[in-house]
Formats: sequence, structure tokens, C-alpha cells
Amino acid sequence: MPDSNPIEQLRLQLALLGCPAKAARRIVRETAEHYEDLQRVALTSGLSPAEAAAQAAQQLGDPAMLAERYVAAMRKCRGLGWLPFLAFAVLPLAFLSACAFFIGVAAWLVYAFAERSRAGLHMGLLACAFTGLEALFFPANALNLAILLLVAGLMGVRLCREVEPAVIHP
Amino acid sequence: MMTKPAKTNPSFLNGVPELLVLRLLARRAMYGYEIVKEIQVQSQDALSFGEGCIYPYLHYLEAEKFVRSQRREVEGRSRNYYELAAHGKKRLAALEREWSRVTEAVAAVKGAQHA
Repeated sequence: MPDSNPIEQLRLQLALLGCPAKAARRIVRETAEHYEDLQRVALTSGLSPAEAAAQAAQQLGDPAMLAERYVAAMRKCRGLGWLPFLAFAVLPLAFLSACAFFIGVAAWLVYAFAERSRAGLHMGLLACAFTGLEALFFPANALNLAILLLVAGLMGVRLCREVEPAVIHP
Repeated sequence: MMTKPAKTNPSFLNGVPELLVLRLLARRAMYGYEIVKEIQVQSQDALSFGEGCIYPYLHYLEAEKFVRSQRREVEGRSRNYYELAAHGKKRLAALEREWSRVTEAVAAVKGAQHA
């Protein structure tokens, strides 16, 4: 059964619209205080607590509509909100690509250091650039992530095998 | 010959809530509920802000640095008080100029109809 409390409904709607948690907490707190003020005034006018709550909820407005307005206002005042394609399509891909590149760089640097080979380092950087580009051109998906994890895992295993003897037998 | 189109003002009514809120905050710091009630009282119920609709405006104004907010406790109740920021004073002046321009234009049209 859906919650009839308008503040809980607002909280739910904000979450459904993907409102960031910090902003949602502030919106919910301020709206709850406003609701409390409306209820207090209704009670002083002689209404019963239930009637006061119902009147306050009516004055506050539809929680779904309020949530939409909040989210729209937030997108309006945050630069990226004006460019949803950039915010929700280009940047995540660029981020994935950058992550893939830097994870690769870190792993290959460690590998090359372990091998102490300049050729290994160059090959590694080339592979990282390729991984980054591949992640950029192929959208973020489970397969891509799985490949990244597999490569990282294989490199980790190989690194452990190669480094271990050096550590045990310097 | 093509003439340059006149400057349009599609948002002059959209700017009214912003103008009202900034004007009230120019007098003193207020919280959301107070602002809504003050608009109702001062406009003698001619203008009424949707109760829950004030906060998107306030948050927008704060993000644009026209107002700043501060948590204050008054009479045992903690509320977010909003006050006008320096940038907001300039914005208010601009909105008031725009509003005067619009009301003068409307008055001129009304005057021409009655003449």
C-alpha cells in the first residue's frame, strides 16, 4: 500500500527521478518543515490533527509534481543539466575510457617495473591507449567491464608469478 | 529590406516570482514558508505561490549566487533562512528595470485604447 505521507512520497519521487542524495535530503527537510508549518496553522484554526494533515498536504501540492519541479530546477542551475547528452552519454564513456587507460597504465607500470624492461613499458603504454580507445568507441557494457577485469586479473596473476621469485630469491 | 527584429521579452512573466522573492529578501532574511505567506499577505491574496513550489526557486537562486542560505534556530524551530547576496542585488535591480519597462509598455497600450 502506498505511503500517504506527502513527505515520504516526495522522498520516493525524488529517488525515482535520480535526484542526488544530498540534494534530496535538503529538499525533503525543507518541504517537511513547510508541511509542519502548514499543519500547525491548520491546527490553530481548530481543525483536528487528521484534517490539518490533509489540508496541509493539499496546500503543499502533488509530491510527484513537486519532485519534477525540484529536479528540473536543479538541472537548470547545474551546467550539465542543460546538456543531458553530454552529461549522460559522452562523459560516462569518456570516464570509462579514462578509467580503462589509467588502470592499464598503473598495471603496466607495475609490470614493466617488475620486468625492468623499457620495451615492456612502451608496449604497455600502447596497449593502455588502445584499451582506452576501445572503451570509448564501444559503449560501457558488461562485456567491456568483464574484459577490463579479465585483463587486470590476468596481468595481476602474471605479475605475481613473475615478481614472487624475485622477492623470494633476490 | 529586412529590418532587425525588435527585442522580445518572452520571459517577463516568468521573472515575476524571482522578482518578488528577491524583493522580499532585500528587506530581511526569510525562510520558505514566510516568503510564501508574505507574498500572499502583501498582494492581498492576488498572488499566491504554490506552497511547495518556492523551494525549487530558492535553490535555483542560491545556485546562481543571488541568495545565500543559513540554518538558524528561531523560537525553538530550526529553519533554512535565505538572504540576498551581492550578486542578487544586481539581479533584483535588473529585474525591476525590466518589470518597469513592461508595465510602462502595458500602460501605454491601455492608454492608447482608452484615448
